[in-house]
Amino acid sequence: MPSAEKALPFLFAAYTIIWVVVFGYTLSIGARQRKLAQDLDLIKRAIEKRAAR
Amino acid sequence: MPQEKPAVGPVPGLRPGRGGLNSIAVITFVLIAVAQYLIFMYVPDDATLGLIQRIFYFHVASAWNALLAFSVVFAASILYLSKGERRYDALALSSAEIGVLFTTLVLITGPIWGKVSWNQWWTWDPRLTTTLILWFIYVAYLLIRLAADEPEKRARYAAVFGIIGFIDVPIVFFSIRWWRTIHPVVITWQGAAMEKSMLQTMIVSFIAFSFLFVYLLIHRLRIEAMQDEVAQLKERLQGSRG
Repeated sequence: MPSAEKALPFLFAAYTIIWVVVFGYTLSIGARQRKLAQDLDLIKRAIEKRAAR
Repeated sequence: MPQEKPAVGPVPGLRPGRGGLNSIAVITFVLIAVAQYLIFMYVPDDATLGLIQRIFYFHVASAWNALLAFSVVFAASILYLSKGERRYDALALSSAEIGVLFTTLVLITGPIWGKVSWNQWWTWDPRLTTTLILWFIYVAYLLIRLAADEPEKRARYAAVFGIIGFIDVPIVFFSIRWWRTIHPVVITWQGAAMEKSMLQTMIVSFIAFSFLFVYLLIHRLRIEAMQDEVAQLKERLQGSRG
């Protein structure tokens, strides 16, 4: 059986990587949604301006 | 050849309001916290593999999510080809992206476990090899969408690829039963070969990751819906200019 001293850094690394990847992906989804929301806002305002003319 | 309908947004039932999404987020967070507690405080060390076996719970749960995600890609691809509705293409694409994410986690955590247990990062074992092939198939699926210019053609090619690519999923699952392998076989036809507390922890991890999958999928689908809305409004704006 591998010793606990040897296994601990690997176990720590595995769980850290899992959370960094999942958290990073969640943040990237949030960033993409924010960018699209800004784009939508801009286009809607442009359409409203055009309609007001 | 199906005509793509301009239906925007996810499949009904996968579009909860803000309150529903917050509830899923809270449930996911609590379940993951419970799973982490069980993994580090409740289950005993494995008699053969020792402390490092604790990677197992999230490693297998990630594999479960990948399986779930690629099954959704398969079903949504069939639905797209038969009904031609954009929402099924959006569902397949979103699920494929999440599937690749979790397969990546399987391919990272597996070798970490292997380094301690087998004293090597990688071996061309059937399970490892078929999982790597699975990852390449779905990365190719995502790349194929960049190749075709027309949205309909792109969605059709991707749907066909999503159906054919799924062939590797059962091969990955059965690889440790069909061929000689050094990968542990935990779930057998007779049930799960593990101690009761380990089984409980595995089930909680599976449920927690399933919620995580649904949460990520709903958010990813929102991106598709927003992109469609941007494209439609841009067309409207250009139309009013012309």
